[in-house]
Amino acid sequence: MINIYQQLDSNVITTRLDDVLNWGRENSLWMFLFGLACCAIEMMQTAGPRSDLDRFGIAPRGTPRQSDLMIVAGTMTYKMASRTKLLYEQMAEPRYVISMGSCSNCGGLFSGGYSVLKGVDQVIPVDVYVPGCPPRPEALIEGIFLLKDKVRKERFLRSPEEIVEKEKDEHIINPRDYSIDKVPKL
Amino acid sequence: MRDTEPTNLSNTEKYTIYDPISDEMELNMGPQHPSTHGIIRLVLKTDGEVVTRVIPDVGYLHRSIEKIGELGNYYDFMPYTDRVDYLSAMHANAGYAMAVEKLAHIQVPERAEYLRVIAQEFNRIISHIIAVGAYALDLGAFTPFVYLLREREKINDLIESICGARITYNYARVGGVSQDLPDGFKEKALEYLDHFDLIVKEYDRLISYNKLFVHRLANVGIVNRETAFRYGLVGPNLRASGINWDLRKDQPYSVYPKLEFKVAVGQGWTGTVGDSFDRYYCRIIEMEESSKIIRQALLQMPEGEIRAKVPRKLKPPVGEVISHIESSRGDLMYYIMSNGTENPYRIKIRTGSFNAMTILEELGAGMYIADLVSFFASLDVVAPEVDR
Amino acid sequence: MSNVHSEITKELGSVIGSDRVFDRSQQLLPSIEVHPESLYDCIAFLKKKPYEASYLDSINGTDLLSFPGPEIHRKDVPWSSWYGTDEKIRLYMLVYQLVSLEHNKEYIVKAVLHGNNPFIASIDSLFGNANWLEREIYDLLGIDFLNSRDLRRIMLPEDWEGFPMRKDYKENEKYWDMPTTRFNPLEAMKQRGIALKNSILKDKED
Repeated sequence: MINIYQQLDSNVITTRLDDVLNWGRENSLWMFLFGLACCAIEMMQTAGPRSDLDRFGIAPRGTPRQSDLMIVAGTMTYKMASRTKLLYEQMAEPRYVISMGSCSNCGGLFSGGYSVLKGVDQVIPVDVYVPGCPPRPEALIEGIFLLKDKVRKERFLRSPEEIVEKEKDEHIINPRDYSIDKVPKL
Repeated sequence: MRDTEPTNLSNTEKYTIYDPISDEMELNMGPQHPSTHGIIRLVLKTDGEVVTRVIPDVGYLHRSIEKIGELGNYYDFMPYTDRVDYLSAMHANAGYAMAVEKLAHIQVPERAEYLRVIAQEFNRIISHIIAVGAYALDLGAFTPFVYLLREREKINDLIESICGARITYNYARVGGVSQDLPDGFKEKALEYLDHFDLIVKEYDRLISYNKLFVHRLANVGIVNRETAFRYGLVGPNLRASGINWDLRKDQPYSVYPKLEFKVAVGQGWTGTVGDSFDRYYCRIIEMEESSKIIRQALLQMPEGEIRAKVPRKLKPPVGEVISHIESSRGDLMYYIMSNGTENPYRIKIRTGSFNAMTILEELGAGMYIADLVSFFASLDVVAPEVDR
Repeated sequence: MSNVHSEITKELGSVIGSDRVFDRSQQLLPSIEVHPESLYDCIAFLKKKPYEASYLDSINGTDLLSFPGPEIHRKDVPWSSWYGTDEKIRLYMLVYQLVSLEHNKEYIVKAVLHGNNPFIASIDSLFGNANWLEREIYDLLGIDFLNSRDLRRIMLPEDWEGFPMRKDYKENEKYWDMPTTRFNPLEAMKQRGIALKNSILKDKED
């Protein structure tokens, strides 16, 4: 019996249930291929042989029902916006969205166009914004690491109303209720 | 039962009107689909597995590039030409620069012409890599695509040492190019091309004579001579139907008269002339010819300036101009109309993929769904070229 | 190239009538110009021998609303006899490009349409890819193509109002609850006169 107790010392870890679940979730985020334009090629090359996304546990899937991360890569037009909302609602919770490139952050190079939606966050809520035109593979991987930090700190087992009340980040301004008085002094 | 059926019928009559076996099914190969090349929607009306009608629906990536061009300068439009066809951006840049130089009568120095040719031929290689690799991926083979992506990364390194970017280059300027070659580029490029010639032969042996691959490509989507003319096909799609027309030989521009290469014309290697295997194999031959062109250009290149003197504010005379350039998807045409001021009045871009999409309605009927996927991938259509 | 277009003008004039064809082969882009009612006959003529146009390259459309004056209001231009010399007429221009592979030449045909309700015959039955090119011009400019087999919008959503490539097009405020502009903090600060400290824009303003 004493041998078993000695072996149990190095094989048993005590931790919180939240941490274990978050560790499992953050290391196997399955990605939904939603590449629209030039950033899609860069996303494809990030998942390619040189800078590999599979070593982080990210596997590409073709349908939203089997994935929990959606990378919106490319310009969003008005014609495509309703389909984006439909696909977002088909994903099961918990779900995350990364906006890749400047066209989906704010309209980017095509802000003067008549048929371009200026930013994908007017239709679906976004977690991480990755700037660039197109962003290099290293920049996209940094964006995914920021998302992993966010996933690690989530209180997954509480109900959503409790989370919103207790963990409101006050220094991050929601881009939707942006008014000039809240801009910090330079 | 549907709402449109009549309601005053007996039981036997009700259940024989809606016959699930002989009714038409409407299937949506929607905007987001892992097998289409960009966001293009095809609505298929099928009778079981056989397609009776194909209705393409485009416009999901219409970014109003032509209207934005009227807001700025002639020089300001260059980054937008990259995004018209992001897989062969050097051709689009050079075509626009050629059109403005024709309009304003600007002479380009010779070293700049050779630099443009080297950049364009590297771009043709990596564009065909994606076309050929994605074709195999559509049919279910993962390995060839990843093999070729490894080569694409190495060529991206070479191009990045010239111009600084990986996909949207913005390399050509009105009057020349923007930067010169770095030291040691020539030796690295020649060493890489020796390695690349062997890779193309290895890829050829891997997949081109595989029995399953040949069975899915031969005699599928046969385009004969009259059909190719009626729908205005250009580029490798036209040459695969047996027509010998290449803009680099028949209407030469830049320094192509001094370079020797062959034109890839379809011969019906397995099956009839003009089927999907011809379109696929012409692209592999073009990759081999491009590496020959780069070798000759690197050895023939003279010293000199890389950019001509152009005025700060360019005000060309009133008139119109048209320029053609042979890109990896066909004949890219720029039409510029100027009214004497700094801003262009109208820019129009006509791409090869737009004409290739019109052929789907006629030839798509009567095929199996799997054959339609193979036929659509052989036309090598890219979504922003269709919608601009 | 300029000789080809002068020859075409003479031969075409004998078929259609020489007051409907105009020779423009001396300009920067040599071409011929026809009255819109005889466009279909002109293109059918170019398809036969000895010109043998193989395929239709493209159709371009332009709105000539703010094009500079002298080109439009000169008296020796064909539009003066077709549409009068009124100072403020609204014109649209269409350019058809045909390519012949056997003779290695390109033929360019122009047609100028008048007014607030422009229309022209469609060349669907002669070339197969004309349908999509005409649909794009209808979508962006509003020109009506008669006898076309299928004319509806192609690039923009089907319930869009207006024709964007016209020079006097104005955007709506919203499209189905999605606003068409985005809040820009730098411009708002400039408007209210709030000074920017430690920014690179400050040197340019001074």
